[in-house]
Amino acid sequence: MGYMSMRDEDPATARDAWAEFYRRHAEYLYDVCYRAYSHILIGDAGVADIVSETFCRAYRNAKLYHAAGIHDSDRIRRRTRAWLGRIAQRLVLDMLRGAQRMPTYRFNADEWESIPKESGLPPGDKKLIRQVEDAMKQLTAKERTVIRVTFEWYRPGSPHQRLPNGVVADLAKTLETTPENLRQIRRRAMVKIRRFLEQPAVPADGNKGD
Amino acid sequence: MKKKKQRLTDADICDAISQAIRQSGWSIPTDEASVAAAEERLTEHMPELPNRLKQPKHPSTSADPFIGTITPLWDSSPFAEPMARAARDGGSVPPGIEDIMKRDRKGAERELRDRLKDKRNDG
Repeated sequence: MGYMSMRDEDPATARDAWAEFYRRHAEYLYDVCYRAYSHILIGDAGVADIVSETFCRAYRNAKLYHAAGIHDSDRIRRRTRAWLGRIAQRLVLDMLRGAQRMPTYRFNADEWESIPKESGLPPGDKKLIRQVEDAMKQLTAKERTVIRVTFEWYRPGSPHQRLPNGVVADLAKTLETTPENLRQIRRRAMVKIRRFLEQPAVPADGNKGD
Repeated sequence: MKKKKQRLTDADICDAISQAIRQSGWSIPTDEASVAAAEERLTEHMPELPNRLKQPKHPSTSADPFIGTITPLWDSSPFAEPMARAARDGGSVPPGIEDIMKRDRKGAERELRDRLKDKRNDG
C-alpha cells in the first residue's frame, strides 16, 4: 500500500505495487462480492464491474489507508481486505441509491481510516442466528432480496433503524417498485421471520415431547 | 409438555438477521473478524476469476470509472446477462433483446426529459 500511494512521485513503482496488490486480493474480493451482490448485479459481469472499480479507487486513494500501527502480517491482510470491502460496499450502496452514474469520491478520511476489528454486533446467540438462516430460506426471492439489501444500512446498536425516506425512494426505483411496496415487502418478510423464530421448537428426532 | 413460545424484541431479531447475513456471506466483510471468517470459507472453495479480471486494466489507463456500466435489476430477467455480456464484449445483440433495449432507452430519455421539465418548473 505504501508503494502504491507513491503514484505521483514514482509512477512505475506504484504501478508494480498495484499489480501485486491486485494479485493478492482479487480472488478474495471477487468471491465475497459474488456471494454478497450477485443477486442484484446481474451475476458475474456486474460483480466484476464492482471489483474493478474497487481496485481502481483503492489505487487512487491508497494514501488514505492507515495500517493503525499493526505489524502482524495476517492482521494487515485482513485489515486491507476489510478496507477493500468498505469501498465495494459503498459503491454498491451508491449504486442502489441510483448514484451509479456519478463518478464521485465521496468517502471522507474517517470512513477510509476507521476499519473496525469486530463488526460491532453483539456475539449473538448461535442457535438464533442459525434459525434466522433457516427463516430466510422460507422467504420469497423478492422478500429475501429486500431484507438483504435493506440490512446493508443496518447499524447495530443505533436506536432508530428506520431507513430514511430518500434511501427507500432511491432503492425502490432501483428495484423497480414503489416505496410503499418496498416497505410492505420488508414488513411481510420481517413478520415471517419473527413467526418462524417464535414457533415452538420441535425436537430433531421428531419426538414432540409429550 | 408444551414448549413455550420465545418472545423476541425487534432489536434481537434485527441483530440476529444482521449476524446471519454476515455469517452466510450475504454481506461483504468490512471488519477484520468478518474477513477472517470469509477467508476460511475461501480456502474451502476458491473461485475462478472471470476473464476480464484475470487481465485487469491498470487504473491509470482507464480514465472513466467502470461503475457507470452497472445496471442493477430487480430480478434476473433472462435478457439481463446476454445484454450485459454483449455490451462488454462488443458482440451482437439478438433482435428481440435489441427491441427491449431501445424501448428501455426511450423510457429513460422520456423520464429524464420529464425530470428536467419538473426542475425547470420548480426553479
